[in-house]
Amino acid sequence: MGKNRRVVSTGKGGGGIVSRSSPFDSLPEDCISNIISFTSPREACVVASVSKTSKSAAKSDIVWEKFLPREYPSLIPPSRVFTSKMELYFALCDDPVLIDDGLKSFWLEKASGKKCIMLSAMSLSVTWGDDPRYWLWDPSPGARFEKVLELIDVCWFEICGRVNTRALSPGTRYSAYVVFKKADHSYGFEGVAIEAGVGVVGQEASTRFICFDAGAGGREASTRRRRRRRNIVKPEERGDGWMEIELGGFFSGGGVCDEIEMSALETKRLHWKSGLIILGIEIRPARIV
Amino acid sequence: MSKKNIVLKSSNGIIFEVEEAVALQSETIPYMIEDDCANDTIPLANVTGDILALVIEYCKKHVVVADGDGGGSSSSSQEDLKNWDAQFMNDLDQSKIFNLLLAADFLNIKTLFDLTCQFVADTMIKGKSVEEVRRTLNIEKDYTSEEEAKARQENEWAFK
Repeated sequence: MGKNRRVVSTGKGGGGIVSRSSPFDSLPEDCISNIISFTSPREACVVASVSKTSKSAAKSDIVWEKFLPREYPSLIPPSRVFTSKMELYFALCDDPVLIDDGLKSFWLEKASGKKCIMLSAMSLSVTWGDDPRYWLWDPSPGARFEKVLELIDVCWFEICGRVNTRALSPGTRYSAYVVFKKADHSYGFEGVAIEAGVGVVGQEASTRFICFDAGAGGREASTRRRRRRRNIVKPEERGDGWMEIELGGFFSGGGVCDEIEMSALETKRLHWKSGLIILGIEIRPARIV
Repeated sequence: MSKKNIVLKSSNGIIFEVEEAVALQSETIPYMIEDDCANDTIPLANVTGDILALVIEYCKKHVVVADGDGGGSSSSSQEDLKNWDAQFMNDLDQSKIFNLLLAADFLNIKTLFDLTCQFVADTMIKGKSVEEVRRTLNIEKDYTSEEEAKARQENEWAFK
């Protein structure tokens, strides 16, 4: 009862699919893999739970080759050997690789296979960043880049990074996040609104206010100030020991390549600020709300 | 200008005569011609008449657009072709869709193969749960409960 009848090729009239059986029964596994390659990495993993055949088909290189970015051979260190394209795919999701002489890191978003990039602090443009009185380059064992940038003391706070959408997945809405930590002694950031901007170079950026140290404060603040503060984007824990704040978003289109600039700026109050450690700016697909 | 015609014969003996350009969208047929595996007609033992008719309809449409006096790659005709493809697929029932997919695979017509695979992925897999995929494709669960739990566990992240 309910048993699938397999299609038996009957020579002349063969190849037909008899109803009641699964259409997958009469497809070569490569065809099923090709069908799955038109879904997404997440859906391929869901399909793997459907049946033994679908699991085998979903693991095929046909599927994962399609989910990998075209330039993947150049991203994998030659010393690393993978037994399948699926294994390689998950390695690129779970272990970011350094690109551009270690100035950036690259990985794939697991569910979609879309490209993600983190610009290290070394690849950002930081006002006074070359002067050790103001900013200090710290070695960063365990972090993904060779060095991180520690803010010693500045009044003029300005960091800025650029990415070309050519390096990202087309047709995708991206968000940019500044990734940082507070140093042991930090001051000048509590409740302070920092202007964040994201936009195409040469065009007006969309701006918002962010706060590196949302603190508890504000008991003395007026309602108006509190209300204003509610629109300020606050940091969130990342789960890797670092914090992040969303600077804004942009769309990576298809045909045209745009140079996108992302920045964080405090040049209005110009009070002394200290004790921030910057890892970089992360660019990954925006969460769909 | 004389246009060469090619005669195709389906598995159930139905004859189709098509222009060479239409038939040559298949990468398999040229080999069959070369191999001279037929004197005049090319027998396609894996494709039934109704499916071959669909394949030819698709190939005719695409050869016309590819020819279309210089405007073949204009964005509007590309758009028209996309709409035509969508309508073409929408009019088919599940069994025809899969037989067409098999025919496109056998005849090696890349664009038709991709179109049918994409259609199956979009309408029968995307956004569906494991149970829904089983129901849509009439797939019998061949996992034991333990095996299924294990398969799910391996890809736990995908179910969140």
